[in-house]
Amino acid sequence: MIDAGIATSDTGHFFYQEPPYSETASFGSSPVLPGLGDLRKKVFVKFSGKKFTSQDTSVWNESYAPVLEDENNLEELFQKENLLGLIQQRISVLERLGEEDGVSPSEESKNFLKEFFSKRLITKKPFIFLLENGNFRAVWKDEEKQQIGLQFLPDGNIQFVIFAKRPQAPELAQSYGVDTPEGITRILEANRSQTLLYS
Amino acid sequence: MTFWKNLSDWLLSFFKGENTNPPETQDWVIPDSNHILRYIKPSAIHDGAINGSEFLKRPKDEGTSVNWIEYFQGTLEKQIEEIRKKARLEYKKTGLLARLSVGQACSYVLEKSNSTFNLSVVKDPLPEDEEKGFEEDKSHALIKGTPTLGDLQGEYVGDLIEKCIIDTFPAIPDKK
Repeated sequence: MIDAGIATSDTGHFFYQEPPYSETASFGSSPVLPGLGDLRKKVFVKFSGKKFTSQDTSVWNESYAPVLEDENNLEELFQKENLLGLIQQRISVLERLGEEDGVSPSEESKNFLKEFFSKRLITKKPFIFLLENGNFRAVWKDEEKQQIGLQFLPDGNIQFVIFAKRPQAPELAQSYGVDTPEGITRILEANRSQTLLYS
Repeated sequence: MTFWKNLSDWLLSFFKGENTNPPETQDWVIPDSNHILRYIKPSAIHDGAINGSEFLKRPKDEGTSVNWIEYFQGTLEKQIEEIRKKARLEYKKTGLLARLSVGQACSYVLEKSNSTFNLSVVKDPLPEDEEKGFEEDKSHALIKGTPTLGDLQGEYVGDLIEKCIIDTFPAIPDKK
């Protein structure tokens, strides 16, 4: 019995199931758990008491994801599932608040935000806000005043604001602008922002 | 002419006991040592974090709408209570009032933006609106120089201002 949305095939590939889970889901590369593109090392996943080993996971070409090194990192996958649930919950709250304030949430922005998170192995919970223009914005902050803010624009681009620490620099580096999701991924990598996004 | 009008307004309010701050020239700039309060609506608050976009102006407005705390006398609690009474927005139970220092917020944004955003806070008293049942609000002020939400730099400036919040107060206080 599968008790989670994550399992492996006997060929070593992951697959991902949306609930309700079933034992008869098809194996193969689709639908794979997105966001595992940088998975280069072997991963072990316990499934129904058996242990499966992935051999080649380079089939996933999403580029922004941490490397899972051992079975302990399976926790990250479950965190991701939990995070997606929390995001959906927050969106529902914001939709209700928007209605009270006369703000119509943008369907495009909402779907874009959900897609962004489902394709990336982000494990830290963002703060999510509804803006007056109906768009959604996700923000991560830490104690060192680092911050990432991403507004999901209905046209598929992201307006970003980043305050990030640089080694040897006393001040936080600042950057802002509009870019594609792929561009944002590169910017986040360049800004070494991973600690804000991953547990 | 503006100076004399400001002076007469100030003398009038002084004798009414509403205001002891000296009148300013230059578009009624609020002094750096004073403070302002901005209403933050519930959809811009998540687990205590506030979205910086709340400090941006609406496209049709001349600045970000705030209230000047020191316009009222008394303790901070009393000043905030007076501002709550003047509210023209419907404050929500889970909304917050964020307090900022005028000088600290303006200088922080100026410094961090390499002098690109020179904000100022000016008085913008609202006249009585009998039709809507609003009292005159002389504590109303505007943060001038803030971008709008749709501007490329908008959220950047909003986030800088958000970092200057000193503290927050419930928009609607708990009944004792």
